[in-house]
Amino acid sequence: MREIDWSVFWVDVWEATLETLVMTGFSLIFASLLGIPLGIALVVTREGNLFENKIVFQVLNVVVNIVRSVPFIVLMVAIIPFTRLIVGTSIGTTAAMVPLVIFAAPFIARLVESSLLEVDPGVVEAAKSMGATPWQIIFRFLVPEALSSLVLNLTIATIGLVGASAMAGAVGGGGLGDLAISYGYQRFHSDVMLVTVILLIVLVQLVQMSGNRLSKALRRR
Amino acid sequence: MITFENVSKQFTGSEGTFTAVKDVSFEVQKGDIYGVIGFSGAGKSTLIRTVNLLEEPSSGKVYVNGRDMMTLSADELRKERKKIGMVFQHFNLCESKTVFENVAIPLRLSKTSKKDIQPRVKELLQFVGLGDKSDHYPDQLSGGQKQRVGIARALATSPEILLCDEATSALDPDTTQSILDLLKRVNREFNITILIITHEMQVIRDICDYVTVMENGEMIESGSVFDLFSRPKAKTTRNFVNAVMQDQLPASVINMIHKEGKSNRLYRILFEGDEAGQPVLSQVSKQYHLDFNILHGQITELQDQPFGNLIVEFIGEENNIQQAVEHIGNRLTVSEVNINERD
Ligand SMILES: Nc1ncnc2c1ncn2[C@@H]1O[C@H](COP(=O)(O)OP(=O)(O)OP(=O)(O)O)[C@@H](O)[C@H]1O
Ligand SMILES: [Mg+2]
Repeated sequence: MREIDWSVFWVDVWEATLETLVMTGFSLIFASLLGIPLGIALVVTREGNLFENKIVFQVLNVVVNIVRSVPFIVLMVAIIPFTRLIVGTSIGTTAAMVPLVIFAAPFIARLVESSLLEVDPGVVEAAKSMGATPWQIIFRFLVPEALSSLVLNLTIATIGLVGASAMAGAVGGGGLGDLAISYGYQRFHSDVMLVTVILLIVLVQLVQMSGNRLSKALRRR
Repeated sequence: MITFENVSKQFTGSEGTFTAVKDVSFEVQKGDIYGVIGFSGAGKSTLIRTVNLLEEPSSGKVYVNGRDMMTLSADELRKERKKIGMVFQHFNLCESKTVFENVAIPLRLSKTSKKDIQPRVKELLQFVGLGDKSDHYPDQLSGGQKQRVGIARALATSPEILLCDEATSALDPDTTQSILDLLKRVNREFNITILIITHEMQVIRDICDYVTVMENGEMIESGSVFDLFSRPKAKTTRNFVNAVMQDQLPASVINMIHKEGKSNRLYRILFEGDEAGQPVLSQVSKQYHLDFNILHGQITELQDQPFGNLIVEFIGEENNIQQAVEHIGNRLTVSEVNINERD
């Protein structure tokens, strides 16, 4: 077991942190682009809702459930061919983002669904009585009314992504997870493990704190 | 203005079919305030929601301004809905928007230009007495203030009809009164026809011109508020009238009569309209040499006419009492009250 060269180590930590931020950030954006419309669709195609459609609802519902029931680590391996198809490789930060997006999108869809279902049906009723179109009801009533809760739920998704991205590191995806595994686990430097764990804790705290703040700010004023 | 023609509504659920509204027919004339009263579950909300087709009738027709709402395309229906304002029991405001934005929504939906929205919303907020609350959020308002916002919002697109589903049921008596006054002003100043649903007879008494009583989905009685109050027929109607008119003797008075062992004759006299201003009692008292004792009574106003209800004890010779009652009966409604029988 070699001594750690701390000056090199801190550079690695910095790079790994950036990789984690990039992975989480971009995955969040792409997963939201998929998950938010999916979540809205899960609400409005429900029985008695604006675009009631049993078949569409059932299909979306089942697909979301299937993807949600596969553990991330399995999902990551299972879709390697797909990942290759999309980004041309199955290792590295970019490659890790493909399973991350597929993992997070249905999760976000469920969170968005629950946020929108919390909106008082009376507001939708008022909207209808004003002669609002279904699209106006979604984007001028449902979404704005749910915004504060949406932000809190997206915070949960972001933290889930931080965790998953660390897992992606275990199979060569880069980031803090990768660092922890390669230094701490494979080379028995438990102090390195500690540093990465602390960094992950700080990251999660920061995400949660900003989410709470933003959500509170949106609730009023 | 609004015509219900044999309107029925069935809900089919897992426990079979339930008829919430059964064969309801009546008409609301332009400029009137029309009330529908009934206990919880009578089908009132279901009925009012058929007007703007938030609920489709299972059978029968609803005409608004002569148009059968069921025949309209989705787009035409939305246009018609803009001419029908609606106010809700639980206000249904957007919590994420300011008072100003709440009132502005219907205008934005119909693509009113920004420079027209500002003065219109200001004017509406002024009208409902919330000129200074423009930038507040609904959760900073009291129930009564929220309902004022609801009313301003419903008026934004200058509708011809205002539907109120239990607009005052979540409010305390004082606030109820102030909202009723506001609705009356809406009716008078803008000549807006109002259909109001309630389970409080006070609402009917204070602002309505016509009323329909509903029970178990059916209309059981209908007519002008004055007729309904002065001559309620159905038992439920009488109970509703009693709730605000108290034309029954209170127990304490009955006990007092029993204790004093009086067997004198008690009469209920209804004063209506102009007659309420006449000194009838003192006239008969002088003419037939009788004393009278008012045991219980109430004078109120119905459709801007005085309406009184007195329970009077006459003391004097049997013959004279008989004649006096006949005399009163020529001009007013009078009936003997039997204190042993209670309905
Ligand atoms: N969507 C629905 N599905 C099934 N049953 C319904 C539905 N809406 C209303 N009902 C039933 O119809 C009946 C009448 O309901 P409605 O809301 O019209 O009564 P209401 O007179 O407005 O009562 P309240 O004073 O409590 O508001 C109730 O028994 C209710 O359970
Ligand atoms: Mg109701």
